[in-house]
Amino acid sequence: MTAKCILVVDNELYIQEVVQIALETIKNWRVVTASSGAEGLLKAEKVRPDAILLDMMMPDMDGATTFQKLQANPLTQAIPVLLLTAKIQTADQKRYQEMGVHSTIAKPFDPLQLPAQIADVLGWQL
Amino acid sequence: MTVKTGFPDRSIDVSLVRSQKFAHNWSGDSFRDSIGPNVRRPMMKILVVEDDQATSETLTTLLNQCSYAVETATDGETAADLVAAFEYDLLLLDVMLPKIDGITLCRQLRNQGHTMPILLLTGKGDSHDKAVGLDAGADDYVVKPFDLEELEARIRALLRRGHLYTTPILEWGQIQLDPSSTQVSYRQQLLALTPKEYALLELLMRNPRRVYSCGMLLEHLWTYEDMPGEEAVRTHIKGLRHKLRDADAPADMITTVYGIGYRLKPLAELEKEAPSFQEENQAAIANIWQRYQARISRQVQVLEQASAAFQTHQGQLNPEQQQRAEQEAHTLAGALGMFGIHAGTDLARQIEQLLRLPQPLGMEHIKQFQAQVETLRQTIEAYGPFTPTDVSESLPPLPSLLVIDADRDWIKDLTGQASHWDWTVRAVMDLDAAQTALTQDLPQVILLDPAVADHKNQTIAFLEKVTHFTPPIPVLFYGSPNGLHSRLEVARLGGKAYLEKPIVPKQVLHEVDRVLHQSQAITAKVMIVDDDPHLLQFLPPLLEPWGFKVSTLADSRLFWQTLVAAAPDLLILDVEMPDVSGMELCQIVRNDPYWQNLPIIFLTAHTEAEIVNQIFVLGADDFVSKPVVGPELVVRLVNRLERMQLSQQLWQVDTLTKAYKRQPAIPRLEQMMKRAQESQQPLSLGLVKVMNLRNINAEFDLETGDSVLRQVGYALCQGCGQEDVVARWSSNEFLMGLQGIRSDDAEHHIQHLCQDYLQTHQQTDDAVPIQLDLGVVQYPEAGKTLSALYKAADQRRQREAD
Repeated sequence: MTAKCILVVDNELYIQEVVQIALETIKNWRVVTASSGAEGLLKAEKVRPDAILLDMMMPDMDGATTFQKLQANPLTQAIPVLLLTAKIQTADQKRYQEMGVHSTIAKPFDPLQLPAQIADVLGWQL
Repeated sequence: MTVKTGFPDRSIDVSLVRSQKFAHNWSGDSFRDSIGPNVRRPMMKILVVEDDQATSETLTTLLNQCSYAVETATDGETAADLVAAFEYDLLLLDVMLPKIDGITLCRQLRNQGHTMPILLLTGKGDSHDKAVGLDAGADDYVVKPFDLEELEARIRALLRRGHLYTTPILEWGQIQLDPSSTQVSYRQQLLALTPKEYALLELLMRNPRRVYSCGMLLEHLWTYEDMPGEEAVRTHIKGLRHKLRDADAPADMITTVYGIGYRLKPLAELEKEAPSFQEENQAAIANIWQRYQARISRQVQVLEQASAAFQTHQGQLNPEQQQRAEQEAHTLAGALGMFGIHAGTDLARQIEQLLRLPQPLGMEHIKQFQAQVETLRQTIEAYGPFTPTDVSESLPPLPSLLVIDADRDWIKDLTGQASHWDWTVRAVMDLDAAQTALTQDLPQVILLDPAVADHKNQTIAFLEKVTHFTPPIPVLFYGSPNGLHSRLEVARLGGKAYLEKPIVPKQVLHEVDRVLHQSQAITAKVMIVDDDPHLLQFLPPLLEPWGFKVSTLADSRLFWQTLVAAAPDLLILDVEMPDVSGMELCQIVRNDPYWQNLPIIFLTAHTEAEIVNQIFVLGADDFVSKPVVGPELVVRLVNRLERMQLSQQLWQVDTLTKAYKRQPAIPRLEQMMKRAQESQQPLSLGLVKVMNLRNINAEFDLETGDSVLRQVGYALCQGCGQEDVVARWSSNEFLMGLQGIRSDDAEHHIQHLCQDYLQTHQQTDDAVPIQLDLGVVQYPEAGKTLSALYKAADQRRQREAD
């Protein structure tokens, strides 16, 4: 089994780092990071990750817009996107589902649980 | 005679030869271990399983004479029933028995989880029989016809060892091994091991500090007949490691000690390195926190600015400020919990919600906002000091402190100070939060103000938990004097020190530093004198991984100055050297009053009896023949040092009472005084005197008197913390140094100990009246020197008695 590759799009560097450490050391996954929606789109196209973790609230281009653009691009459209969001109201959840995101992961997450959470929602047998 | 056991659902008819059991006359001095006529030692009960009547009777008579309670059975089946129904301290088991033979019975009993020592009586002397017996779970065997004295000695030895398998479940780190069900699990996950893999692991877990060579493992785990080559051991080790790794356990749990063999990885290392990646990750995440603290601080600052703006602009923010504040609050809410600061996440979320309210905000909301931002700042700062410098990832994790205290200002001070020491401080306000903190990250030291608990039982429950960690986490208490009432329980649970409020953080941190250094392992210093440069090159790298600090000397003429400079704990000498020989050096050392007890091991190419004999005559403790085999030398060194530590303890401790002897206690007490002075903490000295010892000795006998002293000493030692000192000051006096406690509290405490003792004493033996007098004084008020303090305590004792 080849190692999974995950793209993390979040403007906050320390969140990127925590995710990276968790995924790399616990599951040995490869992690690519992006600090803005625009950078995320570019990297998604280039590295074709197995999944994208996308922060919702970002300056300039927010998560929702980024997601739409990922969907519009045939090269990235098939990549499952997990929203990282601190908004946990059911109304928000519903909206995300309607948008077509695969799943949401609530912030703050427990770094040690994160890899299992991701594997779980994506149905990865590990 | 025939006896019914009286068990409701089973009655067994067995012929028992009951000894003159409990009615046996206990007087007289024929009993080796007798401790006085009125203090009964629990009687040891032995089951003799033997079908030959003559042998059985001889054994019974002999064992009765040695004051054991003896029961007998004549066949294996009866024996099995008896063992199921009664508790025995030891089994004497004949191999050839009707119904169930001895070996089968032995195996059966072990499989059922019985742990008492079993001594086999065998008519056959060949090794195979013995091996089979030992493999079946017997602890020792005696070949018939046996020498009675030897048999008795073996029984004594086995009883001394007690139940070998006293821990029903063996644990090492996260691995559990249950010998009764032969199941092994790692974090509750069962491992499917082959019988040999299981046996290997069991052996290592039973002797976790011991290194086993392939040869030793072969001897332990294979019978002589089917002993394979060493390759087989390696294969099994490999298989075992593989299964451990599959269960996510560290595969190097079974460590290869290069050139020597295998052992379990020391727990300290397991905990440090990787009980799992969990700690590793937590350290890495803590590191991220460290590096981004400045950034997080700026985020909080944006909220603080918003708070100020609400105040000055009547509850209104300009749109740009509003958006930024909301963004930062949102990020913090999403991020703080990730670092384990869940309270921070909650606060940030509430702040975010307030920012979403239509503006202008009312006065109440402005105040709420302000308060929440303030608490957020405190929560974050309490979590870790702001250190602008980058912490390199290669550095070991910083020593960490868990502070449990409700006093915010004080915590803030402490946190600030701790940064000078390079310590990380986590503060929590109550014991529940402390429990949670412990599940996330183990601190090296815990500072606890007992006032945070509503009830002392809560504190005790918490302490119990903490001291059960391996290694236990030292707990330092500090608090208002009247918060220390449960000192007795706390001391029993291993509280490390007592500090009294008011106290400045700096003093507390000094104390923490001391405790931290104390808990670090002591390494032994070894000095090697040998003119062979190869050996001097070869030995240090062999010994250093074992924690030995090695100094070498090739020129024996420089011996004395090197010895004094290196101050070793152990000396290794070559026999033959130019100029001054090892034998001469040995003599010099043995004749020196200061160094005479230094352990000496000789390295020698000579193994002739005459030379070896001469070495021992000169005072050597051991010898290792050249060429040196690394493993052997290491084992000998470790043995020697262990024995030395033991004898040092024996030297310092009064054998009767287990309290310190007076001489070694003096420097300890003086050190306590010095420390009390430096830290401005109270120190109390208590004098406990057994007033009527002379009468007890006269009216009863010396043994009774000794027994009283032993019990008083035990009671006092039990009631003291590890930092405290209890010394037997004279034949009937104990002097106690109690740290961090005022004399009135100390008096209360010691009184309590004495009363406790007298109560238990009364229950067991009310014939011997005991009078304990007590005088407690405080340093330095009552005196500045030890002798002045002793005098003051004695005067006080007399006054109290009058």
